[in-house]
Amino acid sequence: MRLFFYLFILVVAICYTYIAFVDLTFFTNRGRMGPGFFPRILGLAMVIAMLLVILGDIKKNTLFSGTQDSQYKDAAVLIGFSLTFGVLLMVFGYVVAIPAYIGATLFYFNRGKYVTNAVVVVAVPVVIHFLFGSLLNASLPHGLWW
Amino acid sequence: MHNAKLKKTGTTLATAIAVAAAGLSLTTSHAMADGWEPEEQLNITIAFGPGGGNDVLSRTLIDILEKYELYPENIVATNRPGGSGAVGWGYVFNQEGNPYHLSTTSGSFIATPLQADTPWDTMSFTHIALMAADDQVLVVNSESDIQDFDDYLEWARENPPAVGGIGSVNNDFIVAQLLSQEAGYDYDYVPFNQQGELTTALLSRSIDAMVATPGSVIGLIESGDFRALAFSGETVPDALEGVPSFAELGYGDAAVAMPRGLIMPPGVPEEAREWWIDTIAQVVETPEWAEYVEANFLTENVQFGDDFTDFLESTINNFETILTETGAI
Amino acid sequence: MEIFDNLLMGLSIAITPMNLLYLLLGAAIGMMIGAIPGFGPSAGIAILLPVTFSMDPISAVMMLAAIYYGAMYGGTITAILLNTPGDSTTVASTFDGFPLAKQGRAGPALVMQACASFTGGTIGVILITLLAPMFAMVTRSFGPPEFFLLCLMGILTLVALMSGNWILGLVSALIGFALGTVGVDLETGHQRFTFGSTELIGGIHFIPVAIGLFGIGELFHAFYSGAHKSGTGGIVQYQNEERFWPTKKDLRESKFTMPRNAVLGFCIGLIPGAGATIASLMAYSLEKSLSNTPRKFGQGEMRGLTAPESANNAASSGAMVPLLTLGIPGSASTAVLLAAFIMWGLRPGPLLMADNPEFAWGLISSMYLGNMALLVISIFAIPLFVYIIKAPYRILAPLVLVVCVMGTFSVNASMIEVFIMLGAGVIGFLMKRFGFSPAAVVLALVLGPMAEESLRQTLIISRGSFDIFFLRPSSVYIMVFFAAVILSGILLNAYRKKANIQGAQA
Repeated sequence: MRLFFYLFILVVAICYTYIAFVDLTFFTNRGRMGPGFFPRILGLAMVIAMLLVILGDIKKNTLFSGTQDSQYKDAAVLIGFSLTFGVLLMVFGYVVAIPAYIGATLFYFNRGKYVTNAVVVVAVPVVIHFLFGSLLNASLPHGLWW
Repeated sequence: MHNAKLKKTGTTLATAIAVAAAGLSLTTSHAMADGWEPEEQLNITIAFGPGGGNDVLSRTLIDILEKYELYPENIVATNRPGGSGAVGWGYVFNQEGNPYHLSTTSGSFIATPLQADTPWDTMSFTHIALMAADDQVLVVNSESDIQDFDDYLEWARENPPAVGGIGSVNNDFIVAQLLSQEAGYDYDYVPFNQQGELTTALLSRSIDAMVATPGSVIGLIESGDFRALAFSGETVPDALEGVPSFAELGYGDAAVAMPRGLIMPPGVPEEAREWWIDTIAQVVETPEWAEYVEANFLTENVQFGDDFTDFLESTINNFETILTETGAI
Repeated sequence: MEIFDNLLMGLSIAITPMNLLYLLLGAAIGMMIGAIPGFGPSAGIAILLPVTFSMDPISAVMMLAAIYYGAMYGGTITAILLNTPGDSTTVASTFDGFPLAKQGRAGPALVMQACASFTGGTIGVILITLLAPMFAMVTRSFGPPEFFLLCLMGILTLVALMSGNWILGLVSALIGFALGTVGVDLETGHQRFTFGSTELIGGIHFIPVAIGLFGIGELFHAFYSGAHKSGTGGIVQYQNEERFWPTKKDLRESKFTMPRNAVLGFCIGLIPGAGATIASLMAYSLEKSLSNTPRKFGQGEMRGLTAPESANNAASSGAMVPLLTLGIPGSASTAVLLAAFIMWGLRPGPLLMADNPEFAWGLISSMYLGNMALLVISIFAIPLFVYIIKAPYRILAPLVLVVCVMGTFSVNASMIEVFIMLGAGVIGFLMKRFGFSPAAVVLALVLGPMAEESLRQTLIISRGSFDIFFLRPSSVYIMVFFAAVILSGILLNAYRKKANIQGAQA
């Protein structure tokens, strides 16, 4: 996992640096710091620092430790549910997405407590609706159809 | 989304006498030959956050529409900020042909599509009316030796000044750039993100001059901290009495006004457009509208339909020419 | 004693039943809004602005101002309990606030933060009352060069905050700076890293990133570490709550911390654009460098919480000075207040206080009352918050996530920001897992663009010369001041080391 995360940051940093060099100019046509001045410096610094981090870990042999971590399972499930929640929210709006998300997470993590779970699944969307929609007069995501 | 159903506010705006005087010309009947009448809720999209110029204009408009019962149905205003107006106007753009959507315009209505790759551009909407224009004032710190525009010009030709403004693809920049071209001096434009930082920079004399809307600096002009040198609009507001306009100084071509107007989605039926032009003609006659124009130091400039389209077109051309010259787009 | 006459006049306006009601309402709403992740003071004021249009201007502005500083109180509650700062100003409060809560000292932490907020807010209002015109001079001498120096100082304090693996901290800060470059380049109007998206033109906003990296990241991490499995286990082990009230030791330790950081915060709050974020950061590092036990900072040190809290509340008072004396908005929140002033027919500027004394002094007096009310409200509300957090974590976690998502969405009605937040949540979890510093990311995201813009503005003004920093008196003062602070910090450390060695030998 550690290696993947490091590589992820490194790849993003390389892409960032690439764009900074290709798209953005170092100086403006009046000879001042251009839009690419800081991005180029930042990008290069990020790539170099990440390479140092990876090299350091190779030396210390810590790079592959923790890859077989079974603890990731619950976190991964929650992350999966949460990202799906984002998509549901965009497509179907909060009326559908909030009960679906809370129902799914509680069903998975709080097994067997059907009454508690059902109460929460019903109560939360109602509270959210009144708190944000009526009391605060704030925007709520209605999905793509509204 | 932020469905702020507006209640009647009628705060300090109205006076009984003014209402009575204006009331004579204002009736709710629209005996239009074409016969389009609104039958649904009106949705006003505000492409910026609460408290901004577009927000205040929209809410003033709703106030007037409700007060004089010019719109028979419910009116809902929604703030959809993001991407310098790209998000909100993009939303209106997507309501093609729907006569129940309305939005207000500002300088960004012209600048944003030029600068960014938006799916819409200024000309793709149905243009209803220009209701007023935002003009700019050139100010210096009173501690400087510059007393009037002639002093400024003389000094600027010797020492290229640093002139501040909001944003780089914005009216402030266009006015500063055109003025320097017309009057023939070199200068450096210093862009700021927020009015607060810009005003402070002039107060601390970090910059030599700035271009700003009168509303944002009037307090400091009245207190004698800032000195107004020139006003870009044709009619100088009362609060800036004695300040020459660009035209009076001979630089009338440097004046680029920002449109405070109304637009609808593309392809709205002609009858609905006519109905709205007719209605706005009544709105701009109300005392509340006059007070709004005065309180925000706008310049009266009312143009309907195709005239508004022409106005937008010439403003876009001005913008494009300058921004292409300076390499911003 | 003109000031007292003015203050009395102001009080007589503020203490009418209706105005008091609006004030209390504003304070309570502000606190509640501040406690919802995503809603900072500016979003709160903006959302409630339309409601106030039908009110009398003085009542309306009292209420809006109360929402503004009330949100500063409320924002810290989630920072302490959920590690979720609602606004950039409370990031520094998570550093020690959340560790305190984890140790089962959430009650004392919340009470102490309310006291610190009250001290900060009240000292701020006292300074406004006595010396507003004098402090306006600070605003008057601040231009881009001075602003850049201040940002630089903020960035340097970031370095001081880093503990643990310095190179991972550096990468974190670089990521934050890189995120800050997204959007339209101010000087040239060029688009940077927007990939044609219109939503990214305005840049990546702080709020979704901070909520994601801190709050959501913490949530995912808790599921990774198994906090949800323990039977009744809350997010932090509240069942072990020792006591609700702070100990005498807590109070004694923070005795000087609160007032001195209030003054510091107020002074930084005077500067338009800098405000409470830089103030809270500088307060935190000042306190850390003055402490005899700097190692305890970040592990649940009470002073590490009270310092940034009193500073950010004082800074929000400080930001009222340029607004009232010059008509200059110093922050997003005061910009909305300014727009409201204009809508009510006031003309903000140096003449505002002279032309509308009942308005200005009514507002100032109401701030005394508001801060007192907030202290009381917070202390009564704390048990409620602590109670909510006692729910089993596996039930609480999805609810917190839903509230964070809704809060983030409703500020700008943007789904993109929701996805940025969720993405930042995953990254935040991994960063926490592998020793990166999410705090460095968000603070760099706030400070980076400010520093870049002000540096480039400075260089346009000076035509590329760095001499400008030495030619402007106010720049020189700032540099001398900072040099003195850094030098005294180094000397203090050296002295302590020496004292420790001698102590060990003896």
